[in-house]
Amino acid sequence: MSYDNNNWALWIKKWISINLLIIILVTSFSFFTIKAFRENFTDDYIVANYENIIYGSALVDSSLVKLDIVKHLQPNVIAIGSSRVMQFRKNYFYNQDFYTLGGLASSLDEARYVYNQIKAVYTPKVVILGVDLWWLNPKFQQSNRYNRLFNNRNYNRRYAKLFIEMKNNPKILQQLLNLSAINKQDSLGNRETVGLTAAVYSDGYRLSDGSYQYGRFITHPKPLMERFQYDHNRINDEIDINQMDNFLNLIREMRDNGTHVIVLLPPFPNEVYTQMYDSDKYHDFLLAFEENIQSICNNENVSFFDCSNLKWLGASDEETIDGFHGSELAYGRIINKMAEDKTLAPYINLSLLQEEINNPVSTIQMIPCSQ
Amino acid sequence: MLFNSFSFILCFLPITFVIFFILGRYAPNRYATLWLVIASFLFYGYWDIQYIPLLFISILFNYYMGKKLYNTHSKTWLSLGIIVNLSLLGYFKYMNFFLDNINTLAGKNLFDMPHVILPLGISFFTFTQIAYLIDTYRKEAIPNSFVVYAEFVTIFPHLIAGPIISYKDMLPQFINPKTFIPDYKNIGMGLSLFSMGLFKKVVIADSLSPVVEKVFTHTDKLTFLEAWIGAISYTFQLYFDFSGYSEMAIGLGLLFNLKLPVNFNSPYQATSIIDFWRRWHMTLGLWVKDYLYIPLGGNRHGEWNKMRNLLVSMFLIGLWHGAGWTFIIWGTLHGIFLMVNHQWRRLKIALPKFVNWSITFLCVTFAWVFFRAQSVHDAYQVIFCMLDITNFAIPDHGLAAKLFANTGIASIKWSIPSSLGTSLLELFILFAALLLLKNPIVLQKKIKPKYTWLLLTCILFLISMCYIGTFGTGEFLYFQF
Repeated sequence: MSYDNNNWALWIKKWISINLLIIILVTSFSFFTIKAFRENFTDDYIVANYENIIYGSALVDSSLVKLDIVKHLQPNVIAIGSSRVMQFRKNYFYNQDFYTLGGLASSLDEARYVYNQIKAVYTPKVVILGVDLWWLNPKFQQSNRYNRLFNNRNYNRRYAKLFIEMKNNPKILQQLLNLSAINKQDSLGNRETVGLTAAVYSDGYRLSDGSYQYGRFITHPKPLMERFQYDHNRINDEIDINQMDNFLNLIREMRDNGTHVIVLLPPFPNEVYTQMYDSDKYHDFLLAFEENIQSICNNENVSFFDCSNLKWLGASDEETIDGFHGSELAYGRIINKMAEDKTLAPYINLSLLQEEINNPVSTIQMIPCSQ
Repeated sequence: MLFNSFSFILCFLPITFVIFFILGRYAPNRYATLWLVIASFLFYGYWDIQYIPLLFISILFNYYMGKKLYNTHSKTWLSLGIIVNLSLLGYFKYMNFFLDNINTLAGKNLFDMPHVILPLGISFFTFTQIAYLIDTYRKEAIPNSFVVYAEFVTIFPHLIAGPIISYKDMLPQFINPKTFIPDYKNIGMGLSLFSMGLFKKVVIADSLSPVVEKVFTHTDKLTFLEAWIGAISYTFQLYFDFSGYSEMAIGLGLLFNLKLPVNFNSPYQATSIIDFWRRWHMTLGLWVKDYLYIPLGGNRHGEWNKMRNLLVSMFLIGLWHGAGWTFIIWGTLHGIFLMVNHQWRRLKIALPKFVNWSITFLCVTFAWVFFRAQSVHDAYQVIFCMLDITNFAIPDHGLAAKLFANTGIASIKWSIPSSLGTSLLELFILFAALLLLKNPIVLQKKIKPKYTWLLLTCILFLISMCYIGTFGTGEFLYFQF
């Protein structure tokens, strides 16, 4: 059977119509949902209104925008590290001259990337560098995360990613049936919510200082035992010598650039730390990690604060979010300890800090959410 | 601009297409041709505007050189034309490599590296234009207007990564009045081929990328299984990536009533290396045969010279792909394989087809390791791991760990992003598809304006669009060449 041009013309019309129709339908649904989920804000809007925003996206990594805010704000003191430096607050510092980039650096490579980005704009006077155990664990690689976070910064992808997240997390799909639970204002801190997680659970970055508000946890704290379930893969029995060199190079680069570096080993609850210390698997790694980092810091004349165990700070295990994350109060205690550092001390409002440590809102929060 | 980007598919292509045929209908044809040239320059400039003058000057030079050659038939002018083209390619593509090797040999920094950025598609447009000069010298190509020549070099479907086209084949299509009138059959075929190519690139090739990336960046920590999965994944990734690109290019050409040459014909079904090179990157193979192998003497002056010509041709094919020892080794290896293949044929020993296919596939896969590795050392490490059966280990978790528990087989922390079972299943499916299915160019003959094709191509297109939206636009592997 032969087909003439008319058959083909009709076929093409159908081909274009079907594809266009489906693309328009899917895109419209995606745009509507993204808007309803409060995930439609641009980076420019977020950076312009950062002071009163809590940012918790269910679709994209919310932490990267903090880098733009720091470049804009240029605070003298910054914290670089993983989620384990996210509980520092600006209220502990004079003129609130502080910002935490917690959540941006889950490896040495990421820490270097973050610092280099900032260095290109200005030189912070003090960097608190939170070094995690797994930074020196050769078997724990986060290269995929690095690529996802820094190399593919295209938030327009959220329109397509919505469908994957809906498939992976049925709660997101269910949220479509419960749009009334999506709040414009965060009920805890009274900030404007950006992102579904912030709008429903009040979980997200307080962009005024980069700290993280664990909204769900604040409203419904978990029992202590449930908090201490952590990822065993992050800890191993090897230390990577190359990573040691990388660590040394990083602190040298920061110092040579005119930044005073303070190395921090962020805290674990005493129960978790003791468990690792007593474990055949983790014991040697833990000690080697602490000794190696300390030795490098001593040789390089860099301030070093080993706060690996909350107990050493005079804190109880109640001052935790989970097995990996200390609370605001615990991090208040860390800053209090860091006041021993002569370069950092002039920036710390010590009297206010100590007053708040003595009179916290709870073991989780040192200051009210709205501050 | 990339074929697999929203900006190309939803914006550039429809606008270029509509304006081309409006001009074709309401204005003299040369305006439509000019529009296609302008659009192609925009397409090229979208990547980096600073190399547009280079492309333009190269076209201008070769156009006038072609006219000169046609009129004078002078070998001196031909030599000059080829030397200028090769110098341009040499400066942009091989300068760093050359100076770096001199520094290494000297054991000190005699030359600072100029850090030249390779203009996109320079290898392709240089070869296309050298062929044009030789064809005009041979009077096989008749120079036409500058705009038509510019169209020949720049038309966006082939500009960046081929297929390498020949002026004498394309000119009749460029000036044919029918080219400027929409042909619905061509458009339908073009859309179908484009959708299939897009699917091959975006869904299949890009999905293999994380595994390949992981294996070839951690070559010092591979086990036997990981090395094989990495090498075979790359073998498939490169094919689906490049053949997908070529099919998109051919499909795009058809939208504009231009029939570009076929570049792939199921190369992994080849039962010898000779057969492989008749199926893989066919337009490059043809170019090398016509403008290098035969001028060197081809197979005319005895077996020894034939072997020499084969080796030289393949060495240069390797060098053409990239300024690095890995590419040179890859090309030379294929040269040696071809020499062995030709000598084996003379023995007239028939082996079962499956044995022939297996040997061919293994040779090709091993050679691709050099092609992909970041250094010769890395390539050796991957190949060593592929040969070291004592380094056999399975993942320490998942189904494999359960199945082989208490068997004494070593277990390791699996470094490949997907599980062992998933990796093997994916490779098995792709193997089966490559061996059993016809490639889209062959399938093209069966495409009819029926619902089955409508549904199939729509599904392929829409899935690809979803992937682009979700995972972004991945570059084509052959863009680096």
